[in-house]
Amino acid sequence: MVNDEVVLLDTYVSMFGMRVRIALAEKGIPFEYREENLRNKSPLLLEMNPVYKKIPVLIHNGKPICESLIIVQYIDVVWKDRPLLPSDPYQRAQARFWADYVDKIFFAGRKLWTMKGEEKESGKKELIEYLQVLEGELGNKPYFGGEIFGFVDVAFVPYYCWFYAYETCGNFSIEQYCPKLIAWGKRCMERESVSNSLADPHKIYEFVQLMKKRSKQDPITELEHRKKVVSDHFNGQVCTIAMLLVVSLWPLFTLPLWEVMRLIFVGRH
Amino acid sequence: MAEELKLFRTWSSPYSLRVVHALKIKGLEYETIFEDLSSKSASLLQYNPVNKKVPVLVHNGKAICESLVILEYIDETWKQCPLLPRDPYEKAKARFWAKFGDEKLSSSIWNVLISQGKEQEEAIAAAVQNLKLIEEQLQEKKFFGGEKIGYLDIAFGWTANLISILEEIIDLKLVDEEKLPLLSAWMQNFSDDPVIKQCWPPRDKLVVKFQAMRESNLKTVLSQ
Repeated sequence: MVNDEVVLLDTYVSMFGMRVRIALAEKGIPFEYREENLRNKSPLLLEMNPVYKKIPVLIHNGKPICESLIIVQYIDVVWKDRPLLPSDPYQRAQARFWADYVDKIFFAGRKLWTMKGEEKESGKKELIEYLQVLEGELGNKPYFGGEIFGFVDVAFVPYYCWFYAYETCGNFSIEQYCPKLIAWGKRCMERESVSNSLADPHKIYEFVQLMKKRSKQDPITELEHRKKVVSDHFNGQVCTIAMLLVVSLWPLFTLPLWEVMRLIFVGRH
Repeated sequence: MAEELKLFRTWSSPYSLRVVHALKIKGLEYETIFEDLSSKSASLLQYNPVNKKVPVLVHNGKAICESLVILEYIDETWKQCPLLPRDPYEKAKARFWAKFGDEKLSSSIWNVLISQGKEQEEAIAAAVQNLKLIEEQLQEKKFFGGEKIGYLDIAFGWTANLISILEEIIDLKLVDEEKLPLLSAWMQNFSDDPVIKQCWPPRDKLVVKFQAMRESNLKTVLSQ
């Protein structure tokens, strides 16, 4: 494998990309890391992953492999030292099952900054449930792989650097619900392959804030949303004057004064 | 040692059918337990407590869940009639396309079933585009696996069965012999295979089931 050319198209914050970085590091495989700008994707990325146009993509001697867990399994077979998957078929099936399960966290976690109100709360509840199931699976083992850091650990540990963003957006502590997962995360971080591959949790949080800002609802829509919530509550009955006042006065706290004046005198348009 | 193999499935689940196909191709004897998903058995909940879904393969008391995971387990445990390619890169490609089938392709097909009018036209265009991508993987071979049925044929098997049922329900052609000749031929070859042929669920029951799904989803959309 002396003349292998290994290129990884990735982004710093991607938990999927981190999986591949960890696997390559565990196996001691030298590679070229290329940071992609997902708002301006490189021609190479579009050529190597025309179906999804997503990272990570591993390019091995010019041939692309896509989808993070598929890439990790590819790496595990091609570079046989320090295996990540167990050799027993049943243990392998268990590892694949749990690695797939881990990605439920991605969809639940996103709701903490893309949703508001009830939907956000339900996202938080789901996230905690999935984490608790994973904590149950970990049990008292040092790693999901047992005594040895393995495939499921590689699949899950990148989320550990996203925990700070989840906790801050959701206003809760993961350690309170899943102390064993936090201990496991710290244990994994003692491995160089993990500590060198995971992003800084504060940078992840900054990234999330940036995403939130880009998709934030404008304050006028927020007012419309609140009016609807109030009128739904009263089942289409005419709102009480008290409720109307609360709703009307809300912009005073969120909009600059000139916007409030414009709303009152000119209306939405 | 006598192998004990049990498969928890439903009569119609295309994911369960994958496991049936794999077991039959490998020539394995197994017991079938049909589940009613509106009233799941204690055994199913015991063997798949996390997702509570079918299919579940139980081999000598140990449960394996998720159809694609089960396919790989079967292939690694019983070496006759290999399903996955040996070459790591080809294996990675097969896994990629199986995942594509389960995610992008199946949701685009589902959208065709549950829509109508202009929305359905757009859904059909998206589905056909995804089907074209699948067809490109065939590359003049008889099966995705080459001369014989393999992992990706089994993973895509649901298209060979359910697309014609969908076409009957919506009265529109999705896999046109002219526009998708290779895929059309593959569906025929796959369906005609003697092992696969004996496993199809009753067609008339499937038509009724999917017709009902379409109607209930259209009603939900209209009432929103």
